[in-house]
Amino acid sequence: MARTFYRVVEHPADTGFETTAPDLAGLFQNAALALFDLMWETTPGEDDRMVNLTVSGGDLEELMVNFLEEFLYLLDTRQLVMNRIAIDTIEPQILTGKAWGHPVTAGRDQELLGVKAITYHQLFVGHTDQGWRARVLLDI
Amino acid sequence: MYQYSLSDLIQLDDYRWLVPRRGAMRTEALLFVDRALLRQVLKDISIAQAANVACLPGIVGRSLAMPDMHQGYGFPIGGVAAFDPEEGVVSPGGVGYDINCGVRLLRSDLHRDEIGDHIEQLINGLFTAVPTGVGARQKQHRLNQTTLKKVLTKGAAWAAQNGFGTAADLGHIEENGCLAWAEPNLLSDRALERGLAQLGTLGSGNHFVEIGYVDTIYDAAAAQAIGLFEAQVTVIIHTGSRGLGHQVCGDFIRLLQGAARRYHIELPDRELCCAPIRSSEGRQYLGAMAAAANFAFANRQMITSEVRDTFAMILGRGADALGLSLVYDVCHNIAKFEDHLVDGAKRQVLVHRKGATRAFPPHHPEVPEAYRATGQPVLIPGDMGRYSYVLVGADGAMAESFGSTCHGAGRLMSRHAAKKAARGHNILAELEEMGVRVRGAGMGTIVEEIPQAYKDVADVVRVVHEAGIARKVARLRPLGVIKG
Repeated sequence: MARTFYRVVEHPADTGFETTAPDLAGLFQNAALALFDLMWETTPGEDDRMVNLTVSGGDLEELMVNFLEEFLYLLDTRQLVMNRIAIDTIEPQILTGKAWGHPVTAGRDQELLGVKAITYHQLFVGHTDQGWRARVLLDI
Repeated sequence: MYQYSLSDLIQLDDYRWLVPRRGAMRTEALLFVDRALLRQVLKDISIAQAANVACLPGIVGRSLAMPDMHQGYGFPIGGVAAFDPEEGVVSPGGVGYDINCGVRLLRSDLHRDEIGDHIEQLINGLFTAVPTGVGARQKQHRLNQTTLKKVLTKGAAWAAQNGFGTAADLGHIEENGCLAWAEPNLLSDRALERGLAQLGTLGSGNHFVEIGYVDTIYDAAAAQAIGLFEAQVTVIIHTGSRGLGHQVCGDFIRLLQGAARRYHIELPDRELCCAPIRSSEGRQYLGAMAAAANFAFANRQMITSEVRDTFAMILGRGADALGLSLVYDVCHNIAKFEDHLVDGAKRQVLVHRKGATRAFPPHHPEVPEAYRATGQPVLIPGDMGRYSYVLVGADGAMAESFGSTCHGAGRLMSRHAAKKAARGHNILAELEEMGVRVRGAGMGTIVEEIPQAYKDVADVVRVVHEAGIARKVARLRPLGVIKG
């Protein structure tokens, strides 16, 4: 079930989300949490570990794609499901931050949706009258 | 993006609709659809996507879309386009994130009655043997980088040489299960890392292994040549190159965003990023894509081995005694150099198939000897509750569609809509009522893949059959499925 910080974007074959935030760091944080909310039913725990993030991109949209792809890479290679994100610094071409999560655990983590990739299709990251807004479509 | 309406299109006959040139289109687009399917297609932007493909430099002939077309990223799903090797471009979006996603069909000597009491055991056995779900890892076959590079070079042959299949299998795979121009050294460390533990895994989404049976034969001679008979037990495997392929696609979409600017290519959609085929970036993508395609060939070969072992263990007879042999394995997300007749002259083109299947006709030199008289087998999976089809390539495909046909049913509902439609239903019980046992990594995926979420694949197959770009041979019904 979609939480209030994002809205599911309907797509004929796949899915996506839109999210808003008053600042850019909050937007990226919301986007990562929306991705995990769509993909996993998970609960934080004392055994959650922290991963440092440094991501770059040619512009804000590429930065968003690369940032979210980082989590798919961590899931594939280290089985990590994240539940908390903090952005430390963000500029249009680079961000640093931290993510907390744990390796997928049977009985604790329920997979809701398999995401193959973050796409550029109808991608939007920008400032609007309502603050910062992102729309991201996922390849399922 | 322009939203096409019926009045923008020209109907050529019952199964062909032309999208005339407008704006920056360098050629027309041709849609293989009937009026009923077209009504669905007009609800999304896939026609505009086929028109966008027609804008790319060096396109040869028309931009094509198959009857299972629907909205994709850049290219429509169901899109086919050929490009001149000198003047044309290669686009990762024309292949997709799941490089060499494809389907293979196994036949057996078993009658469906022989496994009726064992279906649940077989499905449970397959679910244990084949890791499913996003990020699924194969603990038994974890590779090191040296071995992984051998897989990326040799494809299915690596698996066969290491005890996961036979030489006979290789002759029944598109390209014999190996794209020879693969360049594993062009893959990023991340792509390699993602592949280390994923060989022999199914993945998520619409990927599956399905046990079924032949319920209808349309062409007795072709069915016999392929080795199919009524009530025969079959197995379909649908998966691709997993995280390794997704990473390759993502890496090159990033690289090629800049290439489009460098080579002054106007992109109607960022996902259509591309580079000239003869450019350094274009050649690099093709080498890396081929390596990922080889991983996918090996992946389906490894899963085939797990299927054979599972059947042997549960039925108490070896795979040879069960006659579990490979009918054919086709790619449906790929770009390959092929020879085609264009305006009466034979020439090499780079054919992109994004959610479309090669369908070479009888007597084509690249069709295996065993199928030379019938044409290349084409496997068209439907939804998990109804049926799938076995077709063979037809002459019309060479004349009109660069030797291509459809690849599946095509979605009718968004995943969100499917979830809504499934509310209040016990999906597993309803499928069991239809005679199909299902096990999946997560209920979320199963719900999104309910039969109602897909077009009736029979409608899709009828179009390619009537249009003469493939020919119906047999229909298969599912008995049990494991889902990603």
